Amino acid sequence: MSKIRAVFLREYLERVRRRSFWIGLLLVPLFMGAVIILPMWLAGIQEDSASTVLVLDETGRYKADFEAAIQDTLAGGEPRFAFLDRGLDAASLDASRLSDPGYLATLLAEEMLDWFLVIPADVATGGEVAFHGRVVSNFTLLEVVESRLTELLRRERLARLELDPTLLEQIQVRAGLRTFQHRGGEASEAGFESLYLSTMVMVMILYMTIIVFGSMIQRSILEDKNQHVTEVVLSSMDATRFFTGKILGIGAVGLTQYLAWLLMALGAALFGLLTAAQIQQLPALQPAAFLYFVAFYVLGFLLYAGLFAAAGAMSTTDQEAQQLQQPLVMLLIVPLVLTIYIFQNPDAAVTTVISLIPLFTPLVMFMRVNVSSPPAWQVVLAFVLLIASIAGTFHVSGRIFRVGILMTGKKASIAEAWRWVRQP
Amino acid sequence: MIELHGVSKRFDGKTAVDAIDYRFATGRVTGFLGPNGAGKSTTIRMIMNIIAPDAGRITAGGEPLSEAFRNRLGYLPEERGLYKKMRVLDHMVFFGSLKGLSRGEARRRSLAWLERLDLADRAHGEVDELSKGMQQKVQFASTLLHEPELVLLDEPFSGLDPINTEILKDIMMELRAAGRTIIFSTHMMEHAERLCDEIALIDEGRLVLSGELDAVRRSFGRRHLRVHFQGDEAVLVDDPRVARCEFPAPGRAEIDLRDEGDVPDAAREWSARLAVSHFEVIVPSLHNIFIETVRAAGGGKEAAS
Repeated sequence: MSKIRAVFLREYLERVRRRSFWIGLLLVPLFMGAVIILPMWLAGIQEDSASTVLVLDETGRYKADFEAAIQDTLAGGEPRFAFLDRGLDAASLDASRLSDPGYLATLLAEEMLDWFLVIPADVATGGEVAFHGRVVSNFTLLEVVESRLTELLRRERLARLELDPTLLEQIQVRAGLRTFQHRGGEASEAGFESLYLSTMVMVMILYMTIIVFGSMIQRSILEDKNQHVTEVVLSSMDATRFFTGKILGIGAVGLTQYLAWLLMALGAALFGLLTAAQIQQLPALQPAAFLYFVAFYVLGFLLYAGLFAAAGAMSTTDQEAQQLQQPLVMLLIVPLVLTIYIFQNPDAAVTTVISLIPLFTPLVMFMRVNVSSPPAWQVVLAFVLLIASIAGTFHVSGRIFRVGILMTGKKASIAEAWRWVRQP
Repeated sequence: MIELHGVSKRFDGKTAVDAIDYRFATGRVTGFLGPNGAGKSTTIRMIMNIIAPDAGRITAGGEPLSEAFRNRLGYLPEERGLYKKMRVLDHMVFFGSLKGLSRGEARRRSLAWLERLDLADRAHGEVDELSKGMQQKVQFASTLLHEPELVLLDEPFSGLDPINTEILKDIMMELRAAGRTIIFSTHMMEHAERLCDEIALIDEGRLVLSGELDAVRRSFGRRHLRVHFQGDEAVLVDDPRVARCEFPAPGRAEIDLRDEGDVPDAAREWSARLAVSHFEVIVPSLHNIFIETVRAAGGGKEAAS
């Protein structure tokens, strides 16, 4: 026991005292904050320069109204859109050809025009409007163009039916929808977005930490091999205890990191940086979710650590280790790919089966317990299967480790590793 | 103290150690000799339980080696290695605690060793800031932190400069004076000659010669001659009593006779036919014994230095 402790302490202290550990500790919350805040902030910034545009209206009925409808002012007070055929110096333009789409295309290319719109003669009966521009990915602009045109068409129809055009405003109404999640007899208001976002943040942390600390095991084993330290260690203790101390030590580094983040979040709450509503939305700060989170980290880490350790013991260089690591990372990505399906169908048969497969349990079952209330027997079964497969993995990996750790020179094949597992 | 009973080990169908029976003498320095690839390191690794023998048993006082027993061993592997990014003192404490020392005790003893090895100012620096020689000293001290009763050193002098070699030899002599048992492997006979009480010579995995160094030497008899002469070398080379004859320099010969009893006759005859200025019966060097034994066993394809 004291020797496991010696290995544990070395693995733990050597990592925790490194500057990189502390940088990671601070960087991840900053990154997470940025991921949430940055898009909101950027979305608020509109492109703030005028563009030159042209509306070609083959019907001759909508042009003026449409131009008036989309016109807007920039922050500086000047109009957002300058219409090419209105009041511009036409010296460099051939005014007679402004209705020729081919000519307009050359103007686009010469950047004298930002975009132009062609409203076809049959637009009122289903003809489609064409938007031509160098950039067609500004969906905010496209949405404005489309909705203004739609409105004009609707107004025209109302007029044709001899109805009051202001009816349009009068019938604009939207049903508000509030969502209440019921679990264990308690209801709480939870929107899809906040639930999705906060769960995904935690799932991503789970995914990243399992990969980061799992591959840390692998690197640590390679380091032992390449720096020829294993012989001294193995002359003092058996491989199983060495293996155990190593995995526990590195796993504890991950737990320390979580604890630090939890304290940071609590500190932020205490100093009023997070509002009560935000705290309510952060599942990590709900006791049950936090316990699940830690439990799935610990078990997920142990399962993957066993696999990463075997991969490390089988390889002799970083490149070889990377090759063997790839399939493991793939396995962890599977649940991420299925996220949308799992969120929409948290209790479907497919989701249930996936959440019971130990390799996927940590991420998938964690998503399920967050967005739904899976039956207790499924949660218990998932834990049982996960723990059983950890025991199995440790048994197999421990044997691969025992032989592989002394091997230098060349990488072991899967067949070779399997022989190590089967020998007594 | 440690007994090997028919210990064998094969790697990929090749026999590395072949049914070795040997008993290491307690409180003595045993040189574990043999050409490169003879199976020395494999045997030592089996004693340290790093690899398991395919056949045979390793015991101490008739009992299988327990971990408690192994905690009283110190082991310096042939492939030296330290964690490069660890602080020197932390590293020594780690090695000490692997042998069951408390961290406090390991720390105290490590500092004492660093003091003695003139490395006290490096205690809080990282290992890779040390020169290679310093790292070797740190590793050697780590091996001895727990004051082992038996020290197994695998090629302890390889890669050491002369100054560090002397420091290491001094420490080994101290351990010997303190009654510790030392087993060290080497293929360099001059080290063995100066330090060993006992030798065990292995070649191609087999024990080919063992015993007290002096006894081994005596058993090689008093039929080795050094002769300084002037005259025809053929007189010596063609003499039927001569088993082996080498000329390290013109007029100087090192000769093995076939039989100890031939010495007086040979002396008489050669003095008559050559101008002999020096005639001496010499104790065979370990080097010669080594080469002779390995050649007789038909092994030693990789020549020993």
